[in-house]
Amino acid sequence: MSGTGRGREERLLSKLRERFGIGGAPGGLALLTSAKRARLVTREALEFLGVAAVAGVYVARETPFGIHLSIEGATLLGPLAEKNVVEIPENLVDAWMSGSDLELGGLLGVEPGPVILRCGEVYLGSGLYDGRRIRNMVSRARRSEPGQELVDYSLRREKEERGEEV
Amino acid sequence: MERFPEGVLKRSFEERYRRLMGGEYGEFLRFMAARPIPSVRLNPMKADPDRLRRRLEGRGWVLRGVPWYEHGFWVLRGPERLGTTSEHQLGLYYVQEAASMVPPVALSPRPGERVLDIAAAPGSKTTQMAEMMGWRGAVVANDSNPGRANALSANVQRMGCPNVVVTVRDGRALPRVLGEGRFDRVLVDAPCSAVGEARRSWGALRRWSLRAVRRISRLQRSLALAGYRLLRPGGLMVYSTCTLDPEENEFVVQRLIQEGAEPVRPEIPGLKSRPGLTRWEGAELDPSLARTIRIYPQDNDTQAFYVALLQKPLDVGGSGGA
Repeated sequence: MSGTGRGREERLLSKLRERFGIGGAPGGLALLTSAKRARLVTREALEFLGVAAVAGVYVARETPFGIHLSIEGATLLGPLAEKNVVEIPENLVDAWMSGSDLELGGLLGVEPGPVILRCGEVYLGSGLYDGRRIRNMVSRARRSEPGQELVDYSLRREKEERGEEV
Repeated sequence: MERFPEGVLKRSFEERYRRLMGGEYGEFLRFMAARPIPSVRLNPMKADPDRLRRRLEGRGWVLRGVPWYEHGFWVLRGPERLGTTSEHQLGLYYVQEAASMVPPVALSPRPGERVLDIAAAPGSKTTQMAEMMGWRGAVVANDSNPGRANALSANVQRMGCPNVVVTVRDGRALPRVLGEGRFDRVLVDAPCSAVGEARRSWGALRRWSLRAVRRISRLQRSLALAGYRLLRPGGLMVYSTCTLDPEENEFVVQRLIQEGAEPVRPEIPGLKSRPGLTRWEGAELDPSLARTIRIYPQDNDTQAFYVALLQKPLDVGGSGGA
C-alpha cells in the first residue's frame, strides 16, 4: 500500500467497501496500515504501540489482483461483508486449507476478483475467483495436512500401563 | 506404564524429589513417565465451542472436558499431529496442556483491562487470557527471545487476538520501559527447570541440576519483582512455573511477600491441588504460602505446576499508578 497514514487507511477502506461492501473497522478496533499490510488492534492496546514489535492481527494486504484478506481478516471483517462472500460446504474445507484451488464455476452474484470464503460461521480467508475456480491464497505456514489417521490416545495409554507394545 | 530409561534421572534429582514427595514419590514418578493425553483449548472467537465440538466429534474425535476451563478438552481420540489439522491452522483450537490453562484461570483477566504476560512465548496463556477478556482491553505479551517472540506472534495471529501487543524486551527492564503500576493484572509464568514438561520430553530431566535450579531461581526472582512493580496497587498477579522445586516457587514468592504481596487462594473448580510449602529443608517460610497451590502429576493426570495468586495492597507506597 503506497501513501502514508490516513491516506493509506482511507484507500484500504475504500477498497474494502468497493469489493466487499465493508463499511469500516468493527467496533472497538482500530485499523493500522503500513506500506505493506493492514492490522486490526483494540483501541485500548494503542497506548502500547510505541513499544510494540507487533500489534493486533494482520488482516489485509493489497496484491496486484486486488485486496487479500488473511484468515483473521476474513474472521473479523467477513461478518460486515455484503457481497463477494462464497459459502463452501464442509467437505471442501480440508482441500482449501491444504492449498488446493476450488473448482466452483458460475457462482451466482459473485464477481470475478477477490472473494471471502466461509463455511458456516468459520471464515477461511480469501481467494481469487476467475469465474471458473477460486485460486488458493492460504499462506504456506497456515496450510494443513489433511487425511490423518485418528489415534486412540486413551487406549494407547492403557496399553502402555499394561506394558504392551503400542 | 512406561518407566524412565537408565540415566534419565540423576541421583541428586531423585534424592531431592524423594524428600519433596515423601511417600508419594513412586506414584509421582509413575505419572511423570506416562505419556500425556493431549488437550486442546477451543477458540470461541472463531467458532461457537459447542458447534465446533460437535464438528470435531463428527470427524471421529472423542473429547472430554477439562473441569477447570470451559473451553478446554482432553483429546481421547484424535489426529496424531494435532498441530497440522485444518481446524488448528484456522485457529479454531490451540494445543495446550490442561494444567497450563490453570494460571490464566487463577488470574481471571476481565474485558477492558490492561494485562501483562511477562514471559509469554509461545503464547498459550496469552491467547487464553485474550480470549477470557472477550478480545477487549490490552494484553502486552513479552518475550526476550526474538525467535520465541516470532512463534508467539504467529500464535496470536492464528488465534485472532486483536487485543494483544507483542514486545521483545528483557522482562527485568519492563518497569523502566512500560512504567510501574501500569497493569491491572500481571502473569509471570517464569522460565523454569521444567520438570513438569518431562511428560512430553525427558530432556528437562537430563538437563536438571541443583546448580541450574539455583541459577534460574535468581532470574525468576528478578522477573517476579519486575512483574510486581508493573502491577497497580490493588491489582492481581500470578506467579507460576511448570516445576515443583521450592527454590523456584515458594522461595520466589516469599520474596514478593516481603515486598508486601498478599497470597490469595485461587478458586479453580474441579482441580485437585496441594497447598504451597511453608517449610523446606530447615527453612521456615511465610505461613501465607499455604494459599499458593502445587499441582502434582498424579493429582489430575496433568503436567506438574505451581501457581501463586498475589494481590498488591491498595496502600502500597512508591508505585507510580497509571
